[in-house]
Amino acid sequence: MSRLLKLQLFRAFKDKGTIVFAIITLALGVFTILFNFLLSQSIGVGGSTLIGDLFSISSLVNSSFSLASTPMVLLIIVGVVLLYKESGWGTIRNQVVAGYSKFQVYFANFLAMLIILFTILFTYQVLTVGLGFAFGFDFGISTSSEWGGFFKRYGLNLLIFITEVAFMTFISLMFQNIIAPVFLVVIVPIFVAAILQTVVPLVVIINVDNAASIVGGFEYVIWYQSTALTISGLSYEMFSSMGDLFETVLYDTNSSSFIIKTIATNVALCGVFLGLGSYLFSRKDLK
Amino acid sequence: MVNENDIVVQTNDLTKKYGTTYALDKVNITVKRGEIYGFVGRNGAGKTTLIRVLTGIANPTSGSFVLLGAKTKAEQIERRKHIAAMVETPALYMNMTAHDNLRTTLILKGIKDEELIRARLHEVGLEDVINSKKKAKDFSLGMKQRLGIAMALLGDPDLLILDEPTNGLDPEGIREMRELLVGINKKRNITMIISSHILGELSKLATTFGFIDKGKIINEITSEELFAKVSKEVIIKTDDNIKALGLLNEVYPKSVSKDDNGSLRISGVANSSDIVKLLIKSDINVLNFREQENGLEDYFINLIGGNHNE
Repeated sequence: MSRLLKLQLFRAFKDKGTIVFAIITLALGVFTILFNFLLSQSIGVGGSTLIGDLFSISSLVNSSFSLASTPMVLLIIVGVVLLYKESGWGTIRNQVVAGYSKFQVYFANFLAMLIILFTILFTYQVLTVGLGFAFGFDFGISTSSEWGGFFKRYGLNLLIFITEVAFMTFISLMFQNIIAPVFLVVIVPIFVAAILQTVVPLVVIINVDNAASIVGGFEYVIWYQSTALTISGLSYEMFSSMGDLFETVLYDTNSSSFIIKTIATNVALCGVFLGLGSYLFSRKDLK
Repeated sequence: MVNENDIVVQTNDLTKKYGTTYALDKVNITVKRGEIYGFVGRNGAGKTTLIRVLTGIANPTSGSFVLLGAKTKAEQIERRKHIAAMVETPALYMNMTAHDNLRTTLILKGIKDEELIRARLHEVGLEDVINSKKKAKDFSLGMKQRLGIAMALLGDPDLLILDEPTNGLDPEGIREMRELLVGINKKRNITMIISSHILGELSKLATTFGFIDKGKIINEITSEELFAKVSKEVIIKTDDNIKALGLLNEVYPKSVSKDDNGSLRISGVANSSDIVKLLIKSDINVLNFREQENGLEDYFINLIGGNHNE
């Protein structure tokens, strides 16, 4: 298993596409901080918080886990392409022929993607925090209990990230092509996010009387889709200022019910994508 | 009786179905240690499917096989550490150099000695790319095939499986590949399974042949038997072909076939007059009789039923 993992890391390191996308992701972090700095300067906020008092660096760090965030989209593309290349070139066959079970191959691919993508994302986060401090932005945390809350949210987001990578591995290895993973792992989540972010407020605004029941019908989807944003605090910061209308999609991230729901959902999904995925993959003929 | 330890691969009614189509239909073959097993069949006959099943890339629908003594799936996975294969096209990391591609195999097999990379590239005639920055995607097909074989040889395998290794090569490349494979077999005593749709090509290196058509093994013979069969063929027409076919099948098992014209073809017969005597003795009148020298390709086409089965 460790050899399979080493092989995956070796090939990722040798892959120009991965290196280029990693650089673009990091450049995006630099751009985000610079953009916010220039914006805060121009509107005269003074550069203490991001985009005029709305967001702190700590919420920016946690929101980078969201599927709706650009760094995450770039990372998912990196992962999908890396996984596809193994099937496209047929090199995944070498691993089976060399005496590894398909079960081991599946898990090695998942773990490798987790390590590679998290390394890039973590570098992005460190870079963002470092630059944020350098440009005088507020981290948004001062007390020890706030630090505790930050790490709790980071942990929950990390769990969501693991689920996303497990989903990406599942789709990529099941379909062994590029179209299905790009569609299901990249485009669909963005599309769903766009719909939810457009339709939900519209439903709430236009049909106030039935809003709760309409939105409530999709509550679990809305909740899951927006967990990363919710956990980061961005959703709360955006919607709470709009009053009671958005009460349905606001969650108390510190409540034990929210934490249990997040952990249970993601552990269950990871179980499905890794357990069922590796079982189906071991019964599947490789291309 | 073959000693069980001398059997490298043995399949038992191995079957692979895709939907309602049988890619492999109760295939039984035996590959013995040290052999070069030539696996012959037309495109789509089932050669690659059998190789995919043996290498674990595809799962069989039914039947079983023994691989280097391993019977269970778990044992076979472990035993595959002692085999190497090039299935369909060489599976290379196209964005890497030859050196880095070989490094991936070293990593996979847990081999530390990087000097082996140079040795294997030299062995397959790719010494020019040892220090080259040229990526595998820019290699010619022949170079890719050689690189695939170099990767396969890295772990000193007991069994080397090559699927159409000369596919797409020019005549010079085919000759070089053949010499390379024969050299490897002699030098290292590696058992090989090599598939091809060109019998003439395999006949120059294989010691045993398995013929496959429409997923079924239609004949399995040694090279001596093959050359005996292709040397001379008797084509005969009688007034009772059904009776004649039954009789000849008893005397010359596996050597008699019936062609599209209703003639009986008996291959590998030393004395053709014995056939006529046998038929007359059994009250069968011979209407037509001729002898024909056959080539390997003719033998192959006759065996699989010519274009009739296309």
